[in-house]
Amino acid sequence: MMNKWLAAAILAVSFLVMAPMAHGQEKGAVREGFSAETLSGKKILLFRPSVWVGEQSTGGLAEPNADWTAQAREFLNAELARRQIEFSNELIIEPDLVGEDAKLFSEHRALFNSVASSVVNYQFFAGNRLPTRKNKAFDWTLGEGTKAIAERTGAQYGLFVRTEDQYGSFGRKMFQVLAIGLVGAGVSSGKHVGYAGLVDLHTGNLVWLNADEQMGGDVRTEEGMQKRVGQLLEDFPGFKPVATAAK
Amino acid sequence: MTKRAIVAAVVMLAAPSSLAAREPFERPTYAGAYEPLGVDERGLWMQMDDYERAFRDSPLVVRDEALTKYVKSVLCKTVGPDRCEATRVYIVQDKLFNASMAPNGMMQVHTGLLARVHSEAELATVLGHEFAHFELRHSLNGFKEQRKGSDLMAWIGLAGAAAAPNTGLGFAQTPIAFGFFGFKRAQESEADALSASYIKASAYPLRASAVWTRLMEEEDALKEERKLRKIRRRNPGAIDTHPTDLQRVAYFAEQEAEAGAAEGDDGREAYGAETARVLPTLFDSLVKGNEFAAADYVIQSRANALGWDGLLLHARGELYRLRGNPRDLVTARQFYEQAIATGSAPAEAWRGAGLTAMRGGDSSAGKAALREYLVRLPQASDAAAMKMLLEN
Repeated sequence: MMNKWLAAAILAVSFLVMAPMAHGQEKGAVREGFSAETLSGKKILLFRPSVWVGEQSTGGLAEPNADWTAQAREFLNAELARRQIEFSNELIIEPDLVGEDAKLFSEHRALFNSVASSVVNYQFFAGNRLPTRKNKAFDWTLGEGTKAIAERTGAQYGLFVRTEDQYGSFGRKMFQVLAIGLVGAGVSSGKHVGYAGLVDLHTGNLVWLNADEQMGGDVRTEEGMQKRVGQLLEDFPGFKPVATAAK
Repeated sequence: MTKRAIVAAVVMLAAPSSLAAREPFERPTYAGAYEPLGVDERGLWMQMDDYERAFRDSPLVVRDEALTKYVKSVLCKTVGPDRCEATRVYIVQDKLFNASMAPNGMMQVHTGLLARVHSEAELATVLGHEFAHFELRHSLNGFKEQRKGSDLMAWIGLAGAAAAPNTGLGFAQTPIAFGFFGFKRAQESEADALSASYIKASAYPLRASAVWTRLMEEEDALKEERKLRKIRRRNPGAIDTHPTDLQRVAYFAEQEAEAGAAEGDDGREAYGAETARVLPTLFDSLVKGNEFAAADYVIQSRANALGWDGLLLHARGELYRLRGNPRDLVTARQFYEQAIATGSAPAEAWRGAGLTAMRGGDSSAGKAALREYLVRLPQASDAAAMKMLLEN
């Protein structure tokens, strides 16, 4: 009887905890035939990064925080600009567009998000991994529609960055402690996921993706964001050899 | 529950508008651009601002400035020009009868809604309802309620597991979950009540019950086709997020019966004229959806209210042709030919007439129609395919 209730409670709690299971870690991949040499001297277009920062309520609900998000976005932009010297490429910022061009960018941002999520869900991490993707080559594409973006901007590569941070609220942390102490149920507090990806705009191919479901660095502080960006761009093929060696 | 009891319940839920029955409704003074306050509200706005930044360029948005301005003008006439100015209206290609308004003032109006209403006054009831959610800050309150509920459920779940495993304390979670749906329904009724008050204070007559009646009839038509049991419920289920259609018809009908509520120009003719131009856009997703009987009901009900024209007949032809049974092609051909006879058919009606005629073994008439299609729309995306058909 005890066990039945325990199971029910854990089930109930697991509904509340929407954070990924413990097997989420860091994963990255580079497309076959792509290397730092391929990238050298080419312009990279930085798409507007997706940033979300907030708290996680006791019950596991995501609570957005406008100040933290705005702050993190500022730190992220500053950090990417600061690291420009480490890139062997020129980084250009996504232009503010209207009309058909804006539609083109909007579609491809959405497409990248879908493809990147598929990579994360179905190839990178155990659990949902598809048999057709398990231990197979990193072979994903957005299709040749990206060519139009290359023509508009003169960039050959597109860089996408996304971070999402839910910091455990006081209530959540208390709940976590009590859940493990009283009934031995593991409850996660906080959620820190992010990815960065590079797309060859001429072919639409995803050439590099780095995803991390348990990222470090407190994005609400400048130093934390430096650490975060360092993790996001870890093994990015476009760093100058010197910068990579210095790490 | 009796009709009176439903109305009483609604009035109790919507305290501010309960006065409206006796005194004329006065909109609260509008204080200019509103800025969100506090962590939660500012967070929600931040989230929606980011969403809108991407959404405004989405391919789902119907880019027709005249139509968008028209829909916004109906909103402005409904809620007053001062407060509607801050909203951004987006027409979304979607077959569902729906509209939504985000806490930051972004309003989405689905083409499925515009296809299903027949006058400005009918459209106003839905736009007013969405605007009421916005003005009453329902998203924010809903978010807070959800957080409160899920926090409480988490603690009860833990307490049940830890302290009293045999007492069934876990069941205490159920009323909280159901309570949240009740809270959502109360918000919907409150928005309905405020919408009715907006309309009574505007130049439009209240014409809400007809909209919900037709929605029930549409659902019945679909159930009839699928041989499913037709259910019209007087009371919502425990996890329903909205009052039932029947409840809405009842409380709106009651308000419409009040003196003066149903007076004024409902803008039926203006609505018919403004939307006639964009009928293919409004009916596109409906016609391509997988709900034949419902789409046919919507097309016919528009015809009953606003009359048949070339575009509407063409839409019905497309509906039958796309289902594509041999018998459907015969029916579709008739609709295309009727559409052409009105003189207001789109070029695609000749394509439809041509394809259905050729399938029906009348290739000379079919080819003539296809040639006419290519004359009228030489740049058609399927021009090459049509030319191939003509050569055979």
